[in-house]
Amino acid sequence: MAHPPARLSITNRIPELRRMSEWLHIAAATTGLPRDLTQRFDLCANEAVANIIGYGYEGADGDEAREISLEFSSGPAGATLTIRDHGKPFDPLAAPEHEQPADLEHAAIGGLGIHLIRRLMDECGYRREDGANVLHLSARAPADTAAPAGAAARRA
Amino acid sequence: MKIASESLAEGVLKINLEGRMDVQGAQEIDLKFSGYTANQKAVIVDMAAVDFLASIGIRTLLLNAKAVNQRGGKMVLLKPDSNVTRVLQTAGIDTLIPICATLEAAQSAVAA
Repeated sequence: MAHPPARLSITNRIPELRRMSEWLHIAAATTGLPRDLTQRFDLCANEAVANIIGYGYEGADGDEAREISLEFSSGPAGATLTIRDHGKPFDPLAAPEHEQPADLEHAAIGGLGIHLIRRLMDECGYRREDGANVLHLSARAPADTAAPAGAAARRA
Repeated sequence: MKIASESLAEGVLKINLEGRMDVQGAQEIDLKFSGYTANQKAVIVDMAAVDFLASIGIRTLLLNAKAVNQRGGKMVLLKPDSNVTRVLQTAGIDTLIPICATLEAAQSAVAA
């Protein structure tokens, strides 16, 4: 991917989610990430960061704003998003698989965010590193849509 | 987000949503949404103008559909765009809350 990764620092506040989404859309458009993948990353970033805002700093000191940093490497063939926070250790990928309920009456409210991330990304990885939670999400364009960019790159 | 309600024939209520159904959007409409669906038995939620749906928005849809369901009624979703439809399908919501492509289909789906 020829473009340097885009970087963003936000705080653990709900309105920051929209600033994050705008940043992600601009970075994706600049680097030629297909629209379909941009929408997937927008959703998965929202789910992951909403979790961090909601639970990552539970019980931590009062109202102090905490930093969440993001790095997004994207291009016509796919993208990788890395989300780093200094909240309590939390591996979202350790959550049990979502079970599809038989009907509306038995549907649980919640727990769908991680399920969406697992299904919409090709790869997800978590590690605890230097006191930070580091979540990696990546997805590639289907081979047919990525081919023209790859062919052009080979000719160049 | 914007939310408005519209009474159709035969006791059907149509709820029109517009905007980004993320954490902020869901917070903006949650109270009004549950207020509109209270006591209703036939609800059509027009999703055509919703361009983003996160799990928090799915929560709103599920809570209201469950409430309508529990009083013997039915809630359906009308015309979500392709991005929102994918999220609904990936989350398995399309098997719990029917998705209708036309208003006519939605009206017959909620008819008692």
